[in-house]
Parts: sequence; structure tokens; C-alpha cells
Amino acid sequence: METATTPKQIGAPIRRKEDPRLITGASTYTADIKLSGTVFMHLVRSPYAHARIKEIDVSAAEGGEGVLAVITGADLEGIVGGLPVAHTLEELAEPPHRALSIDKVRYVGDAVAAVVASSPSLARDAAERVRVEYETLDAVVDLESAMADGSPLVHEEEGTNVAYEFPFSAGDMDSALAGADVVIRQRLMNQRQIPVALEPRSVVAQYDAGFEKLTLWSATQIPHLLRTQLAVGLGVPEHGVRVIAPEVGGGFGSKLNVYAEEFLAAHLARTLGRPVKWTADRSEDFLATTHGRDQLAEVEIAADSEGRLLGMRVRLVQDLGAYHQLLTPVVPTLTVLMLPGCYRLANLEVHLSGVFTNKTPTDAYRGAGRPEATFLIERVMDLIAAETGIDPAEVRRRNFIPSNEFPAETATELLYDSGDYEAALDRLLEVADYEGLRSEQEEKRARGEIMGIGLSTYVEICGIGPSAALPAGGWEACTVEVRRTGAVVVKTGISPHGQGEETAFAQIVADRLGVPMEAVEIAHGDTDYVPEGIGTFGSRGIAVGGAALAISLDTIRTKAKKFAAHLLEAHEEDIEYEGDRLAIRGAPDRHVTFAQVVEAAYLAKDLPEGVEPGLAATHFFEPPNFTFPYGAHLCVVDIDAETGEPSVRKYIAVDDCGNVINPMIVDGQLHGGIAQGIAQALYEEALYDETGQLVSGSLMDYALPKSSYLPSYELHRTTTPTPVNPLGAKGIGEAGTIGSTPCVINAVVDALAPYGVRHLDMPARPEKIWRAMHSRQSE
Amino acid sequence: MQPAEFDYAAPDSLAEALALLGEGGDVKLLAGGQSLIPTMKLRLDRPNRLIDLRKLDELRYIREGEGEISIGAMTTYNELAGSEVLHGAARCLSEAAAAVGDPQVRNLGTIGGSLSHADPAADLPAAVLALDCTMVAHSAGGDRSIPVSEFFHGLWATALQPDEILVEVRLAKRPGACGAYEKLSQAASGFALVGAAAVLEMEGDSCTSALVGVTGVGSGPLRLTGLEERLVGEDLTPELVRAACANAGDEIDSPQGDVHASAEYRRAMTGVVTGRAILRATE
Amino acid sequence: MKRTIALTVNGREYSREVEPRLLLVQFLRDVLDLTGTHIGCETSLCGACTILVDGRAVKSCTMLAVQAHGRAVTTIEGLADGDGSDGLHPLQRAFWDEHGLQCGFCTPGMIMAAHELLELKPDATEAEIRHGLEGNLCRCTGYENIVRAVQSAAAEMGS
Repeated sequence: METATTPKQIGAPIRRKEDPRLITGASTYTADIKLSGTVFMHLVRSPYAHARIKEIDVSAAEGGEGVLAVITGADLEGIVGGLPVAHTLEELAEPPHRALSIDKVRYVGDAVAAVVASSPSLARDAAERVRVEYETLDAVVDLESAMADGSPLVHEEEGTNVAYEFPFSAGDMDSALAGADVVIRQRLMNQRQIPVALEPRSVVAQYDAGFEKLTLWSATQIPHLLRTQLAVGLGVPEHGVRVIAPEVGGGFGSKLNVYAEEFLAAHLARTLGRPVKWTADRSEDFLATTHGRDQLAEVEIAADSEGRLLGMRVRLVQDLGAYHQLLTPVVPTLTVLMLPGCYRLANLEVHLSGVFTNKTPTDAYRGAGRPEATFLIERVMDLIAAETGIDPAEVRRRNFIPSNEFPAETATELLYDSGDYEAALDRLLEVADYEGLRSEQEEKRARGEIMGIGLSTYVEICGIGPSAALPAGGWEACTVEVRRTGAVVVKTGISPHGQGEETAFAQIVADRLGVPMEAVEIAHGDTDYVPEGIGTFGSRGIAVGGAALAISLDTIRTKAKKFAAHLLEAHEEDIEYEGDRLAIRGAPDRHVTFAQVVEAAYLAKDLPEGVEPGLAATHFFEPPNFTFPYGAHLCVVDIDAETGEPSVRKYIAVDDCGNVINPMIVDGQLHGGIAQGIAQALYEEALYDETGQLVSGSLMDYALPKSSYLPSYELHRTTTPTPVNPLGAKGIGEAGTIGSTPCVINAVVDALAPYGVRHLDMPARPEKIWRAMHSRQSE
Repeated sequence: MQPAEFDYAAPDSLAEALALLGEGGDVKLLAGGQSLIPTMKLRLDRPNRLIDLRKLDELRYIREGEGEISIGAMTTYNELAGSEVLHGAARCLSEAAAAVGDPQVRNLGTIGGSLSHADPAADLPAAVLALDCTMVAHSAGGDRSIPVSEFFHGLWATALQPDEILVEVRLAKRPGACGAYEKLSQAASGFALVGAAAVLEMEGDSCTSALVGVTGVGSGPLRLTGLEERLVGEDLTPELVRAACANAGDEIDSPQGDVHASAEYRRAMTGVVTGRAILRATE
Repeated sequence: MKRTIALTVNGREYSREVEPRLLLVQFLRDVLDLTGTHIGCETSLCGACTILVDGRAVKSCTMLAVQAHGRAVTTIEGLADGDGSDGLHPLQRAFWDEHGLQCGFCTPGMIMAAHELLELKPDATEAEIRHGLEGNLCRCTGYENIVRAVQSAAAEMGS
């Protein structure tokens, strides 16, 4: 099947190279790593959301059975630096974020001491004997009261809980309002979510004193950035740190970070001279791994009576949690950028505030800022539809950026690369039989049944991204090494953790070099083997990492042609390279194979003039722009009239992510993305009580959807390549999540329209729906 | 993840288990472990000693006698769910067992463990109430029969004494009676927001006897006796059942509310879920 | 105080001394080095640690190692029967063919749960499969291709 050197691997649904090790239990995740002499770290974490640390008494833990070390924040001062935040904001309050807190604890789970013992259970036993005396303080829990005068302060030295303000304005909102037939105001809450990658975070650190080399295995999406930050944080040269991301069990943004445990394990491995291992329990992961979303929006909409959006004024408040993690303040700025969605929007006024609270820090979670924007603009479209009485599909059509206007500049100064939004919507309405569904809905309503149809047409920002837009660079690096045997090793700086790039990249290599898939190894996630990279996030694996691969392969092809020309005594420009054959144009019999080229390159007995032996290339790809995948989603939600339980009966999506390398993998990314978006709409919510305790702190209370909660998804595609990279691929990792959440809520609100409902906050749990139905009935 | 230290014994006989229990101390009986072990892993429970009942095959049975069915305490949920003996009225018990957790939990969790643990949102208590079961507790002094009406004492509390082991659940066979269990689940844990078991005796369309047990709503499982009275003597048409159940939740003094569902919603859903159980029982 | 337990794992007999508080999953992973069984939570909900004990699916994080004394355990490492040309169990092959996994962390537990499901219900419908896998969470696939994989394995195993 896929073993042959068939010419077209790109575009074929090839089963994954990764899978044999994963389906047999042979893969190695960080927690599976066993090094001789390993000792185990357990952290003492604050049970309080906000408290002053009066005293930490470690004496009962020290010297206990198997205990090797007990450290507190004081032991790290001047030795281990603070945790980093990367941003491009002009002004930002950056209070210290220590690996172990010394003055105050600022959220439940904030670590105050680390214990190392010979087994995980002994470490936990000893950690229970660390006595911490706290003076509890009022907790800052509610987002808006955090901004009020007199609120307790998470970081007193800042004098405010507002870490930054980010205003943006384009056009003239006041005149838009003055000229509007319709003005609508709506408050929208993007609830706090917990990413719950199924693999809890885990770290193993080992120090080789002879080579003065630290090796850190971590369940991370960004081994290279982590390496750099560890070197900085520990004050050692960068070549003294090697980070390995072995098999990583999902991330969704939660492993796009630099965490205290990584610093601590590294430090303790150095000081103890023993490998140190830490693996989070799930309940610990709930507290100590970044959360997502938690953004309040208030929007004022100006529209005309024909359903055209004239302008929006938006106030955004982002709950940052207690500290900045790596990208905490940056994430909501992506919301601002993407507020225009797929639509022409001339007038936009936005004010974003980032606010500290006594909760777990928020950061990237699948979509990272864009789902919030899409949720807002797609709710706006439906609000306009409800207000003007125009069908929501038609409202969208009237507002779309037309396909002949691409590349299209937005009010937020982005340049949308390519698109045909109306074509995607048309296709969706056709395959879904939209009119038929509306008739069905009418019949059901007449019978007292509750059915809703939801639409969402989204565009998102992917292929992140141009370096100018990113604090630590947005390029990606790739090395292709063709070995003597013809084996091809690709060293990529992305760090996939489920996305299947070992397969997709091998498909690209197979096509471009004419080698079998089996001859290709895709190496990633080891900073000593793959020296430079940025990582896997922001749907950039193919669009940026794959582009770096493509240009490296171009260099290999060019050099191969030089060898072929030399061997065939022809001109380089006359060589055609198809499959594994390099032939003279017009004389296909006169050819050499790629294998012969490789042999010539390594035996080097007769080199072409000015050509080095060997066949390898390294390139850094700097994307000239982001990519902007888009799509149109529709779902049907039925609601149980007695209990309010919603169920998604039908889900149909038309997505356009440009060129597709492996449609099976693309569909899989959409399935999972849509599921996570449905989960935000209907199930998941990280809830804190008024004292700052995480009430939904385990899978007993935080509702990850189970197989029976979700529908089967029907996927369709349009293909509009991007001019931004040589593959024409846009990225698909987050699209499903971004498109689906507003689609489902629009369906729920549509279902409840006869009850006078115009909006419902997420998650639309049965009781909330039941109350919405009920409040009207009892009026 | 790791429980605190404890001592462990797996007695070979009930007598030996009782002897170990008699030694006192902070002891917990381990049956299927599906509630106890997670609680111990979170160190919310840290007994000094576990007495594992896994070897007591003598407590693992579903026996059909002349007038009653007796179920050994170590019978698992899946064994209950798949039992051919549990039909008619007793169907509510097999349905409640099938509604617990997930297949893996049902493979290990037991009826004795569930009833002794007395989680206020567990499924089986509603069914044993509707079936008016008798609980058999065993101690050095012999067997003690406890009517189910006296067994549950609210949150995680039962009539069992520290030296007693729940060994058997008995239910009277009721030829011609019918039963069903319905549930509205908490989305994360799968526990009941509201669970209702109904057992009915009918003469033609007319109800001659009704027992309704509810779980998840109050601080413990309870019977809805007011509703039962409203049903007896009536033709159980869907309209009548819905009307009779409409305010069924009002019988519950202090419904529980939490982040998953308010007391008000649980109270309202008590009528809905109970009505569904009754109608399906009579189908 | 440590106890000696004797059990069969993937057809091999083992006898080891363990602390009573050692969980079966830790015994498999840490004592026997069978790390294909994963730990995703501690509340018995995610199912990543699902194995077979005497042929029945259980969550090995919710069972003590001492409780497995005298029992026969099968883990993902012991599932392949070697029948097929690729040495894979039909379920493993179906997960591969249908793209029933992404990060792979839930996969061993998911496959073991599906194994019991198909043993009890070889003709399971889509709804029965979805219901039958409620004890296993997947964060990557939205379950779509997992359900397809189980359906496809059922077809292969039934034929």
C-alpha cells in the first residue's frame, strides 16, 4: 500500500507512522522514563487562594524515611530565576513569579516547598509533614470586583490588579452608532476552562557533573524555548542544557509553557546529583497547569436594518490568574486582532484589560484568544439576525468580505491571505439541506418540540507566525540529512504531540525526493539532536515547520540535480526530477536514480565543480504573514422540554485549510477540535467559590465529554491555498474548536427563541436552559 | 495518587473477617473499592487497616427462593445488571446497577459496598428502597435483619454497627409487579442528580401498590410516600402520572444544591424523573 | 508491611513483595516495567489505566496490587495475538487503520475497554459502543474515529 514510491503521497490518507508504537504500549512518555538512582519530587502547595506565608517549618519532613532534600523559596533566591513571561506589550506589570513562593501564596496550588525522597509515596508522606503557617487574606476571585477600588491586591507592589490595558481603535465608532438603524448591547462570558491533556505534566531531570550537562525530559510542546529559559533561569550556558520532549500525551496549549516544576527538578538534580522525577496527579494538574479562556466581553453593535454590521465597541476583561505564565498577557490580544471575523468591518473600538486574580494562571488553550473573538462576532451575527428578522445565513452573506477582495486588510491591520467565505457557506447550506432543516424545525415547534439550528462562519489566524508578531521569533527550522544508504532524516523544530507530523512530513519527503515513506525518519523534540526550533502551537506545524522542510528539500533537490547533471554529462537546468528519477528533459532513458545520486554524493570520487560532498540542508523559514483558514459550521441541537438537556444531533462542517497533506489527519484534528468546542459550549467550566477554592477540581466535577455525549461529525472541504508558504497549507489544529463553540450556542439560543431567549452564557447546562425556558413561562 | 500507609488483610472466611473487625481500630472493609480506593488516593480517607473481602465468594450470589430473592453483598453491579433473576419489580435494581459509573467500575463495584458507603447520589439505594429490601448485617452475635426503611441515615451513614458486615440484601418476590429506574446524571461523575426507582402493582390499568425511591436529591435516599398514596387506586395514564408527579419533589424537606444543580432544579427534576420511571415500569 | 503476591501478567507468572498501598497500575508500571498502561487521573474516570483482570476490564488505578493476587492480568503489551501478518490484534490494527488515536495516551486503555465491549457485544451498535466506552476519556479524537475503529474491529473479528 503506502510502501511503494508512488508519486503522490501528499493528499493521500496514509495511516500514521507514529501509531505502531502507540497502539502496542511501546511508546515512552515522560512518566515512563526510568533512570537508575532516580529520586522523586513532591510539592507542598497552598490550600489557600491568598495568604501571607508566616513560617515554613520543614524539620518534621527533613530526615524522614527516604528523604533527600526539602527546599523552600528562600533556598532558591539568587540561584534559580523567576518564571518567564514573553510578550510584545508596551506596558505590562510584571511582578515576580518564583518557582516557590516566599512572601505570599496567590492561588490554591501555588507551591511553597519541594520535597525529594526515594519513592513518590515517601515524598508525598514527607510533604505532608511540612508545616506552613499562613495568615489568610481576602481572595480576589471575581473578575470585575478585582478592578474595583479597594479590592484586595494580588500583587500589592503593583498598586492595582490591572496588569495592562490594551486599547485599539479603527474608523469612527461614534458615527457608526449615529448612523445605525439597530443598536444592540450584549454581555458575553467565555468561561474558564481546564485543558486536561490526558497525560498529566511530568518532568525528569538528570545532571552529568562531568560534562556539566543538564538533561531534562518534559511533557512540553516547546523543548527549544524551554531549553533557553532553563539556561537563563539556572544561569548556565545554553549548551549545558538539553531538553527532550519524548512522547507527549496532548497539550492543547497547556504544555506551551515554562513551569516551576521544570526549574525545580533541574535545580534539584544538579544539587543532589541524582535524577529527579516529578509527575503530576490529575488533581494537582488541575491546580498547577495553566487554565484557558476566562474572558468577559461587553459589546455594543451598530447595524443597519438590512443586517449589515456598521461597527462594534468592545470591552474585554481577561482574567490572568495570579501570575503571568509564558504567554498569559498575549493570548487575549489575539482576541482583539480577530474580532472582525469574516466580515467587512470599518469601525471598531476595543478596550482590553488584563486583570490579576487569586486563581490559577490562564494561558493558551486550543485556539488561544481566537475562540473568544469568533464567539463574540458569531453571536453578534445572530443577534443582528434576531433583531432585524433576517435569516442568520443571509446576515452572514451580506457581511462577508467578498472573495475578490483578497488579500484583504482588516480593521485590525491583519492581511487575510486568501478565502472564499461565501463558497464555504453555500456548500454548507447545500449539504445540510438548510431549508429542509428550517421546515423540520417549524413542524417540531408546532408539536411543542424544541430544536435549534446553529451556524458559525469563522476565520482564524494560524501558521504563527511572522517573527515580528512573536516575542521569541516565529520562524521554524528544519534540517534534512540524506544518509549514505538513502535513508532520510528530517530534524524539525516543531514538537508534535499527537498531530501526526511524523507522517505528514514523511509524505512531503517521499513526494519531493522520491523515496519510500519507510526510508524517512522525522526527528523532533530533542534539542541536542535538533538544535533549533520554536515548537508546536498556533496551528503552525505544517504551515511553518512544513514550509521549513519544503525549502530544505528544495535545496536537496537542487544539489541532487547538480550531481545528476554531472553523472549524465548534461546541464543542470535540463534535469527533470520526478519520483526517484533524475532524467534529461526529453530523454527519459538517460537518467540516474536518487540512490545513485546519494552514492555519488557520499563516495565523492568525482564531484561536480564547486559542489561539496554529502547531501544535507538546513533552513529557517520565516513566514511573511499568518495564514487564515476558515469555514462554515452548522449543527442541530435538540432540547429535552422537561429537563432542559441539550443534545447535538447533527454536526456538519465545511472547512478550508488550504492544501491538505493528509486528509485523514486533517479530519482527525477537526473531530477533536469540534469536540472541544462543543465541550466549552455545553459541559466544561472551571468554577471557583468565593474563597478562591477550585470547586471543579477533579474529573468528578469538571465535565470532560464522554463518547456518548458527542455526535458523529460530517466533514466537507473547500480548498483555497495560501500564498504565504510553499506548501499552500494553512493549518487545522484549532479550527474545529474555534468554529464549533458559537455554532452550538447559536443553535441552543435558536432553539429557545420561542421562549424569548436572545443569549445564554456557557456552558449551556441543562439547568441553565431549563431556567431560561421557565422564567419566560412563569412571567 | 498514593494512599497513606495502611495494613492489609484478606480473610478467607466471614468468621475471620469478623474477628479482624472485632480487633477494632480505624478499620475499613474493602469490597469492590470503587469509592474507597479513590478516596484513599486523595488521602481524604486514611484508614489504618483494610479488610479485603475479595476472597469471600460465599457473599457473591443472586439466589431465587420461594418467596424472596437474596443477593450476596459481594455481588458486582455487572452481575446485578445481567441477572435474569432480577426481572419484574426487581428490574429497577438491575437497571440501577447498569446505571452506575462505567463498565470497568461495574465490573468491580459491589452492592454491599455501595449500600454500606451510602453515597447520597448513588443509584442502588433508590432501588432497594422501592423494593422494600431487608438488609442482613452479620456480626459475632449472628445475623441482624434491618428493614431498608431504617437502614439509611443520611450522608454516608447507615444503621450498620462498627462490628457488623452487610452480608445480604433480600427482597420479596412480587409476582405481577413491575419496576424501573430512571436517572438524570451529573455530566462529570455520572452520579445521580436525581435517580428514581419505581415498583408498582397493577390490576388492569389500576395501581394497587406503589413504592418510589429517590436518590441524589436529599441528604440520603428516601421514599416518596405522598406520591405513592396519590398513585394507588388510580389508572396510571401518562397524564395522571405526570400530574401526580408534578410536585413530587416538594415532599423532600431539604433538597441538596451544589455547582452541578441547584436544590430548586433537583426538586423540579424529581417529578420528571420519577414520572419517567413510573411510566416505563408500567409499559 | 510488605506482602508477597503471585499473579500472571500477559501469560507470565510473577511473584513480588509489595506494600499494601501499591496500586495495581503502579505494580505493572514500576515493578514490572510494563509502562503501556497509563495513569491519567486518580478518580477512576479517565480509563487510561484499563487492563483486563481475569478477562474483565478494570481500572488498574482503582485496584490494589494485593487484590490481584492469584489473578490473571492482560495489558496492552500482552494483547497482540500475533495472528495477523503485522502481529497486531484486530483492535490495534483497526485503531491504526481508522486513525483512532492522536497523542496515544488514552489508546491502550481505550483498546482494552473496547476488547471487553466486543467480547460481550460482538454486534454492538454505534450507540452501544459510545455507551460502552463511557469509562474512557479521549481528549484528541472527539471519539469519532475511535467508534469507527471499534466498529471496524468488530466486523473483522466477527468475520
